[in-house]
Amino acid sequence: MATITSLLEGHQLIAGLCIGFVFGMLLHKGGITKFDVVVNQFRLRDFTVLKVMLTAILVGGVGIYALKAGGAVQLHLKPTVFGPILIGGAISGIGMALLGYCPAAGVGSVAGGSVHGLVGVAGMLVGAGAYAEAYPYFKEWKLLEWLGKGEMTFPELLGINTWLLWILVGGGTVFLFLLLEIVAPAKRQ
Amino acid sequence: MNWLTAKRWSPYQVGLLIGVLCWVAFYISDRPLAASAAFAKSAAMIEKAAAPEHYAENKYFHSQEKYAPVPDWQWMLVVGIFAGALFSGLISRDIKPEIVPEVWRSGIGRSAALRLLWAFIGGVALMFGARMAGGCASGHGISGGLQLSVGSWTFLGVSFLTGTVTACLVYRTRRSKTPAQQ
Repeated sequence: MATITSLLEGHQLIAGLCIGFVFGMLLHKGGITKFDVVVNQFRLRDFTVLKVMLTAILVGGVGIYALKAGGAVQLHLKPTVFGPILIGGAISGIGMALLGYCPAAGVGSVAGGSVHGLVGVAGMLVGAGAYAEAYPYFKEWKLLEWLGKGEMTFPELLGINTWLLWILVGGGTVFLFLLLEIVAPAKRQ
Repeated sequence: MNWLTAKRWSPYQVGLLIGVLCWVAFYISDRPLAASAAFAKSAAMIEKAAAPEHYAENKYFHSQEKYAPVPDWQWMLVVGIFAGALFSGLISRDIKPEIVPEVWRSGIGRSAALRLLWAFIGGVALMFGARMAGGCASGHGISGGLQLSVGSWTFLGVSFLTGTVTACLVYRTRRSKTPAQQ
């Protein structure tokens, strides 16, 4: 760990660029940078996005918790504040269905020639600016602390062992995938 | 090489590789994959250049270091996403201009102006909501999800729910016509 970290000292911007490069490539290969794929997920006609996300969560999560157990990484949890997460998540979901991309995939879609994706990226910048204008009011109304619970994970909340939870989540996910392959098989290219 | 130049990979393969990429990001950069804060940073950069007095008074952009108008790890990540998607699109010959996508055309119509208007509105809502919630499909969805964060799973659930309801109301295509791809 120490050697890799010191090797990367001062090169973290390049590390971010390289990791982003692979991420962008994977978003394209997965079809996540395509409007039709994302919207058809929301219309429950194409489960590509769900398959990608759940597989990433399962593989990523088991690995991160294993690395954490070995002392190689630490978690970076966003605080669980139910008020803004519920309201913001609801608004964000509506926006995503209309735009047809998540923020990362929106950027990737522009690289693939999506003109409406580019307009969407402009919209996202305006949305970020608009949120910055609204922020003092939300702060004043104490909206951003509403139902705040701090960092909260399911193993803590449920009081069960992390690995037992991963076995349950993994089992449930594999079962869901098997079900989806029967109902809506992955398209062969 | 066929593998690298294929237009699409299996979603499981892509998901697995994104999962592994998360290990790499945590391990070498001590960072989760996330995108939406980089948009706030970009908005801060634009506002600082276009309206410096207004920017100076902005409470949000000065609330956290990660919104400071200079490139950081996550901002470079988003630049990388563009470059990586471009590279992948080029080698698989999958780059073509698109204004009105298939599903929009069959559900709503061929008007480019209407599509662009709603893409803009959708983008505004997507990012406004993501900043309020403190993350997007990457930061909350994948990175928060894999850390088993209760708030992130709440975000995933509620955004998936409202997205599904919106899409089912907005895009009504005739059932017989499946979207013709390739």
